[in-house]
Amino acid sequence: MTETRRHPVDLALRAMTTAFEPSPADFELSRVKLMDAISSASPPSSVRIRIASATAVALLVVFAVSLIQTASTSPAAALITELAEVAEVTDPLVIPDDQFAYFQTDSTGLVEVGPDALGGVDIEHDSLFYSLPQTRESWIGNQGTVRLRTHNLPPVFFSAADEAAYYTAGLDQGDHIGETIVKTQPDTNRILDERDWPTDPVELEATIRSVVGDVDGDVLQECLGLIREPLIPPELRTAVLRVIAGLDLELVEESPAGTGTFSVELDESMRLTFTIDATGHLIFEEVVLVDGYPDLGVPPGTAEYTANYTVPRLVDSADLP
Amino acid sequence: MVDPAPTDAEVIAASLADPTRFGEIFTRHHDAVYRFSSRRVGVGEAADIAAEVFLRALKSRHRYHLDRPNCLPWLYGIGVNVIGDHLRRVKRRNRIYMKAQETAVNHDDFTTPLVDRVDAESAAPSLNQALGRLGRKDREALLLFAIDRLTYSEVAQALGVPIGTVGSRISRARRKIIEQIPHLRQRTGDGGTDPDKEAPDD
Repeated sequence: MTETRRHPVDLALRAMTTAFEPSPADFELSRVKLMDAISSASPPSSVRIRIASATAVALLVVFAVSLIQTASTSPAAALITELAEVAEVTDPLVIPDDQFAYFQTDSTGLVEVGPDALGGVDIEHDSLFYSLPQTRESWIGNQGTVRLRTHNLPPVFFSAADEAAYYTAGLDQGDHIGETIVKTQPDTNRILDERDWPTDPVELEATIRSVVGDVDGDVLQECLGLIREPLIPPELRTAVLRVIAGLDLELVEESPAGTGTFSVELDESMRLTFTIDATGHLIFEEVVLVDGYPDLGVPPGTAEYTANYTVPRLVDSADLP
Repeated sequence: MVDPAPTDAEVIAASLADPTRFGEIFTRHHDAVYRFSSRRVGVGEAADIAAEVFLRALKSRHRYHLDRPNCLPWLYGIGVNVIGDHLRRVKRRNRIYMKAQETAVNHDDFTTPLVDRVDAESAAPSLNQALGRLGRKDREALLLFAIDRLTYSEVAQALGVPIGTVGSRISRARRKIIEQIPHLRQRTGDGGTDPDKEAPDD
């Protein structure tokens, strides 16, 4: 086996990184956490299973099968599966040479600014938080460019002191509040281009999990990232929706027009809600901090990110109206 | 004659019936796991990451392969996942910020915590950015080998992949980094040689 630890890349990596030694307090902090966990630990499940009776195991299997059947026929799964079937027969959005795909995004993002960026202006907490609303229009051509027109609206603050600090520090200039900014740039930041995404739902889910890991919330976010792409092929959109249908979602609302709104817990303190229209397009998403960040002045229920998307449509020109 | 200390595997086996024995694993390996964490996320978060690694290890110890005497690669593998979760949270926050600022970001935010430690003069494009553009699995294999000094077989153990996969991932990762930072090839002063064909020093 060839293990070349003098490879220049390895040497550069080692030069770049520094390892620190733990302090006694670091050691003690971790030790206490572990001891607490140990004191409440029971023998792991595999041990329990070994000593379980055959009857108990059989009951467990029946219960598990029942759970799987319930999950596969949940209202959320059923509706998303229906949407996937419609998406499958939806014509792909093909951009001719003389046209552009146009869509609009109205979003609000929670922004954190650390004390170093405040130029000595005092703030109440360790960081300054505010919500920044934005409208953005996008024109995508078939030559790999995108034109963006962005307009940032005045932020929403969690206290008058935060607002005063924001303007005193001049952050409104950095945020270009009230300005309209136009950029034309390569359309390179596309999740679609990161790899060859399989269109078989089972393979697609395996690919996604190989990228983001096994946490369902991360899988869902990767899925939403894919169907957020305006030029996603219908067969991939369908596969993504089928993957989503297999996750443990709650159906919040179903409109007569076929639109479905779904919700799921992310981590333990975040809730993601999203809406898929009758043709499988993502038209709304929101991540809410259930508990907020109380020690940083961010109240419970604050949205970390909210966005409404229009469905992409073809337009004849990217000239700004 | 004094009996040799039990191996990690023996301690973990004993901890299945007596969880308090797992404290020995912590005592043996905490500092190494802390250093592993600090290299990736800096000193500020290393303690929390290290603590989480041992908590997850405690919960999943029944899945440990008891034929492997040394459990440090296993702990590093858990560390990779813990740090991955941590960085995804950071990335999500960054992504939201980037959306708000309408900044085009073409690379993974993996290395954000490392940015501060990169020599600015050598960062065009920086090694840090090049790392961020690697696939996650290629990157982890390279880091475990290059900076954590695991062997190929230990990297394989940590990542749960065949040893041959480790070699190909490391090789691919190095090649991609050099494609982005060609002057790295010359740093050894033996320009023109293929770094992948150096003699092993292990």
